[in-house]
Amino acid sequence: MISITQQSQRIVITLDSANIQPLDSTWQQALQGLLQQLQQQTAAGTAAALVQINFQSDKLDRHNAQPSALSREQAAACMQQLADYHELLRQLERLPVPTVAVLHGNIGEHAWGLALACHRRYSLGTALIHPRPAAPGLAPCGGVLVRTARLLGLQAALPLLLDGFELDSSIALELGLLHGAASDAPELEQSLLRAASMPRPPLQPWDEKRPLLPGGAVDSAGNLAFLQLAPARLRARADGATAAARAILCALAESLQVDFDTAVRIESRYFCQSAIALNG
Amino acid sequence: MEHAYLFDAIRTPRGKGKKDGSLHSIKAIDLVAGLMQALQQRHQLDTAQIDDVVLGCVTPVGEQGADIAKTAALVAGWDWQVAGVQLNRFCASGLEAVNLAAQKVRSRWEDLVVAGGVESMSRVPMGSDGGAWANDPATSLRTDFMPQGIGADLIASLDGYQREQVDAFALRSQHKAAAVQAAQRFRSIVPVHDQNGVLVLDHDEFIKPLTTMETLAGLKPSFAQLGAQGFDAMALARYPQLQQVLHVHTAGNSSGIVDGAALALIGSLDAGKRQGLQPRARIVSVAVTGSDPAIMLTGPAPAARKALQKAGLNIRDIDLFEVNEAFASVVLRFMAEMGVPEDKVNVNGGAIALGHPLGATGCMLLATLLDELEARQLKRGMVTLCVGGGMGIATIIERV
Repeated sequence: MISITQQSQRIVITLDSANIQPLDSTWQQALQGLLQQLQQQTAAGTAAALVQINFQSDKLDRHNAQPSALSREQAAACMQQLADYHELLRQLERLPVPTVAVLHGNIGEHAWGLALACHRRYSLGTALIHPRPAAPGLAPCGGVLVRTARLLGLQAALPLLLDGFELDSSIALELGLLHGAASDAPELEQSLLRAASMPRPPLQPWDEKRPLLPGGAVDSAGNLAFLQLAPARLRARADGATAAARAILCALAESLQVDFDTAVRIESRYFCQSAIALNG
Repeated sequence: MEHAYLFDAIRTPRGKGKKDGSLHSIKAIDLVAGLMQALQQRHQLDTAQIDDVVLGCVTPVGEQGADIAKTAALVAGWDWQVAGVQLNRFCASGLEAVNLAAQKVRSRWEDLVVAGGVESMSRVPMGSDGGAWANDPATSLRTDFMPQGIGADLIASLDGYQREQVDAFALRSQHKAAAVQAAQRFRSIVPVHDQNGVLVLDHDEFIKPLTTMETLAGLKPSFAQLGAQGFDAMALARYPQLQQVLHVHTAGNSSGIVDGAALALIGSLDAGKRQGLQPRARIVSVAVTGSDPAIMLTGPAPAARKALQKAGLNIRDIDLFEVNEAFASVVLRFMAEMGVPEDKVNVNGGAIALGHPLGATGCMLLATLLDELEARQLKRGMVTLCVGGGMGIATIIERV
């Protein structure tokens, strides 16, 4: 599932993207073990200057993906699993050296979620990012919605999360979701060297002292007007205001009004809500 | 003349009013809507029979704006025939809502009213609504505005309450609240769940049961710096008998910032019968008064006297009191001025231990009072609060 090597000052990890699943305890245990190892290898006094995470292409079978319905009785356990996963991603974000995601081929939602928790993201060659759940009817989880919203802002994030357009490297780069698109290994190496010289400790945008939201604060005039119209626009869509679409809109709006950790809790609630709705 | 009866009073637990508070992720409208749904289910209410919802909210801006009372009724799925109004009488808003509901019923122009309040201080910080009084220099100069904390310290200075005395009062509040919580005797609490039914909070989380006189003594006076910057001079000019202002109030002996909501179901006997409701108490009298705006916090006693006079009662006729612990000196002054022994006052602790969710507190105190009157099989109780701007409010209830 995970391989790890150290090459001089660089720790290189290779992940099988298909195994990345926030609600799978085997994956969570593996990730926890990895993070414990990384914390030791990047501690003060060690030689490590960069953690490179290579995401292996996912053989996505989107057409046959089955959504997992949740009962109300299962919601509390699901919330706890997502809270545990969030804590793991926060450990990744708080490592004292930069973490760099290298993306190639098909990158599914959960692998993308992990990549968003890295300080830098680069594509190598062709990368096709699938930012929304493969299974229709579910709102995102694992921090995907919250991190995407804080990177793009309210109005740019909503269509991406609702419609889940597949993003190739160039579009992802243009949107600001990638920090670079390398066509070959030497070009990637230059990007990695630049990433290694990031200020310490490396900070995610949402961990800055006064994080700025692209497109303005949620209560800015433009965003308030957008939010007032958004439900009506949702209802007017061809598929109407599905449970998942409602959950995504509400989670987006509410998560941007609170601190990051509270935002992910709200995202998790709306994920559970969408999963419960699948029961009809 | 119609009487106004209290059929039920419920509240959310109080969450810490900061971003790590358990209710920080719950919007104010959901705090209220959750209680509305609980109230409806507890009594199988036909909500079409409810005339109005009156809600106190002291910072009605942002997500607490746009008449949260009516909006919450819609979100709760109540019949659209229910009206709704939000009001602001500062700290007294929740009790003012109850009093207004009682007046509506007594007038016979309305029969069944839900009253209460809400405040999410972690999501909509106190003062976010601006206002001329504190923020407009011309208004402030004309009205001699001084912050509440200076008023509290002024009361302590005038009455001679030393730091140890106010800290000891605060410690008693903590101990009483902790004991009641441990015995699970806050019966009016309705736990808060998220939209999926997952429990978010089921107890008042602001209580600090490990508080000691030593921990309280270690806290810095909260208003000394403000005083030194000019407000002490204003206070001494107003009260020249004082040599200095004793800054005895700290975060430990002042009310806490929390999130919460409360609702009371108030109506005529007939309206209650139509819904199959048994009255728990009668609202005997209500009163509101102005008081010295500079010291600001001395309103409870005059309001209490007014409510007693309206009811034809004597202070000795009141078995239990809930006097909002905005600051320790407020309650000490009330007890001294009215001759009320402390064993009748805030017997389950108060806002110093539990917190003061501004718009909701008055109704929360009513719920706590009613529960305790029933538990002790006592007859009459009074709720009173000091109020910003220099006001006092009081309500007397009598078990039936």
